[in-house]
Amino acid sequence: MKEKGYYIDGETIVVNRELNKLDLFLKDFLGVLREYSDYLVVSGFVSISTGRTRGTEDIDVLFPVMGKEDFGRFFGDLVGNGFWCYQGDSFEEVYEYVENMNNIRFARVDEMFPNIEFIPIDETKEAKFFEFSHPQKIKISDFEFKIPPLEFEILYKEIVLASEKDIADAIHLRTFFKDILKNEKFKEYESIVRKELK
Amino acid sequence: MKIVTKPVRDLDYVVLYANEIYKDNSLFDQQKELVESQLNSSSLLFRRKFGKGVGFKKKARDFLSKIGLI
Repeated sequence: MKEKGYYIDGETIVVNRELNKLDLFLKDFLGVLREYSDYLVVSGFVSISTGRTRGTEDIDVLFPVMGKEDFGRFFGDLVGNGFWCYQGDSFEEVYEYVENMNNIRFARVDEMFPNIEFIPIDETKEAKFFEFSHPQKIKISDFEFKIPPLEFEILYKEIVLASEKDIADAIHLRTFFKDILKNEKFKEYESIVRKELK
Repeated sequence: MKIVTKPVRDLDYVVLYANEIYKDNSLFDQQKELVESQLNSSSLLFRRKFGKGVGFKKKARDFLSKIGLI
């Protein structure tokens, strides 16, 4: 008997499928990160984790910029758990990127892809900070994590990113989640998303 | 009688697939194969290109620098 692709359990979207290797990579990364920081998983992985059938090389994760000591502990823990950082092997040199609000990337040892594109944010990045502050819970098998509100993610792809791939991702999300998307939320979020263009 | 519109553009297939996977979660099995196949191919490619261990990171960083990613 056919089962639906997702269902809603309270405040959580439950995607009705098994975990794949891409999910497990993110799960391991977030398993370390959660000890040190809050986060939000954004962009392509939101579409792919909900059924968009395309490959990807990276998973974008927002985090509020952290202090050097916390970052050092987090970095050491990641390395101890089998990750390496593209930008450097010492947390001091990598922290310079974070301090300057530049993205950094982590992959598993002896692998290039997939990687986590780790994106520091603060309140000056208004749209990103908004989605970070309004997370939607999603669960696949036993793996629960946070994504932006679906309407926000769709608008961000349509208005800000707007490449062919992003438009296709947005169409996927609009179709797959058509039963739960809310027009009033699209209206509410559009002006916030458009601030990212300025 | 159900009228089925034939997909024409690439994006029509995105809509078709999203509708079908919503109705039938067994299609996630196909998606899993595609996602993992890409990861396995990529892993094999870069292992052959850069080897393992300390050498891997050095060669990988040289490559990333050349393509402007770091």
